[in-house]
Amino acid sequence: MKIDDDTLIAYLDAQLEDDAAYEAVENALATSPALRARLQVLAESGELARQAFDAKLEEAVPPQLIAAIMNAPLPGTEAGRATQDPAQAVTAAAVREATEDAAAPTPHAVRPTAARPASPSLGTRLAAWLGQGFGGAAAFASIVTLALGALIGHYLLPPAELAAPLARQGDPVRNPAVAVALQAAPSGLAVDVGDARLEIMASFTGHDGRFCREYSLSSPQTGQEIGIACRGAAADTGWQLAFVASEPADPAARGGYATASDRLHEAVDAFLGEHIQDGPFDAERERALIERGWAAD
Amino acid sequence: MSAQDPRAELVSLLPRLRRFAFGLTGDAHVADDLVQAGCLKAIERWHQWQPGTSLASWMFRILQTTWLDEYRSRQRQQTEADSEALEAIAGEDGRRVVEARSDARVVRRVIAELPEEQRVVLMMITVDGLSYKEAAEALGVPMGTVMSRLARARARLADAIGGEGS
Repeated sequence: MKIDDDTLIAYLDAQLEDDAAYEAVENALATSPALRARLQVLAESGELARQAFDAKLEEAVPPQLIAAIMNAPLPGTEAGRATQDPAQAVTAAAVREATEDAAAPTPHAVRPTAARPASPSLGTRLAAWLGQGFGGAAAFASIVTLALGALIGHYLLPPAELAAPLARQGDPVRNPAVAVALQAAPSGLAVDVGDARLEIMASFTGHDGRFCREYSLSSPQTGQEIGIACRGAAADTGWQLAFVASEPADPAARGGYATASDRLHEAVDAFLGEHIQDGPFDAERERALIERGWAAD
Repeated sequence: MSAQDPRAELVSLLPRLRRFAFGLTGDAHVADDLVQAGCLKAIERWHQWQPGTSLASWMFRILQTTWLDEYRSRQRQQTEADSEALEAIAGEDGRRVVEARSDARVVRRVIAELPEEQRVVLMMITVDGLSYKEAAEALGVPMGTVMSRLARARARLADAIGGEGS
């Protein structure tokens, strides 16, 4: 039986109709060196086509693109209207109010919402705090978490790289999950990245005028990292680590996420005390900065 | 509610959409503009998407029609100038294409020079891994049409980069 290119390609693509069709191709391949050679050429060139675009799949998605989609209004739904502008402000304000430490306007005022073992999603917690009337805020929180979670999950890295034990002050932020979150996530939202949890905690202006954000990354395997990353206002500057401190996982905390020790928090607080201008941004200011990609006012 | 939020669904598809648009347009910046325009369009028309069907196929269709309708005419002059320049380089020595066949840029150039209808099915099926049925649905053409376009694209690709032996 004559096997043409169409059939060989469908064979390679696993798109033949039934077992009999596969059998026919395999019988023909067994007896025809020319057909085997053709199959090989088609297989190789197909593989090269895939490889030619591999890098695009692994490249970090521009945060502006994510922000443009996440900020798009949903047509004709209650949730769509509710999630347009006030939602995020409500979200972050609620986070602050819900903390017992609301009087101290330091970035760590939001710490109590950070990763805890088996904590419910922020969206769930917000819904409980705020009641039914603020469904929009909860919806927004879940949307952001889901969307970033799905995307950041794509950047799943081996645990050793995730914790980036070699990251030092002055280094660019290399972990794409952290880079995307720094650029696009509102403060107060935790995102799961593999077995780790990543949270952007606050945004502020550093003493040198750069925009800075504090994040925490914790995993039962690799421990806890708290970092402060800053970027200049020019579009082509990325996030750089202005401060990073880490500690290994606490073997006593079985399962669940590690929480940073007092020592780690003291180190961050000391750094912030010297480097922060004014207080953390309110949600409205932060949102405006996210939307324009942290460009200057 | 949020499990079906189009924005979350679309954001999680972004790496595939960007790859497809890059193959379609041949330009990374134009590709990202196209993806953004396509996603905003999809959110507006979300009611037209049928749950249970492939969201990627539906998005590929939106990207392709957006590209045809709004972008390509603007890009045409630029692209033609580019491909003339590329032809001049490749034309110096046909063997260079074969010698450099592991170079992703050369492969992308061969794909960029395919007729658009072939390039689209190649990106959908060979690169992205859609089934023939999904690709046919996305393009609104019969499966036989998809298969013959794919075969022509694969044959050209094989001739250009498929190995020294043939």
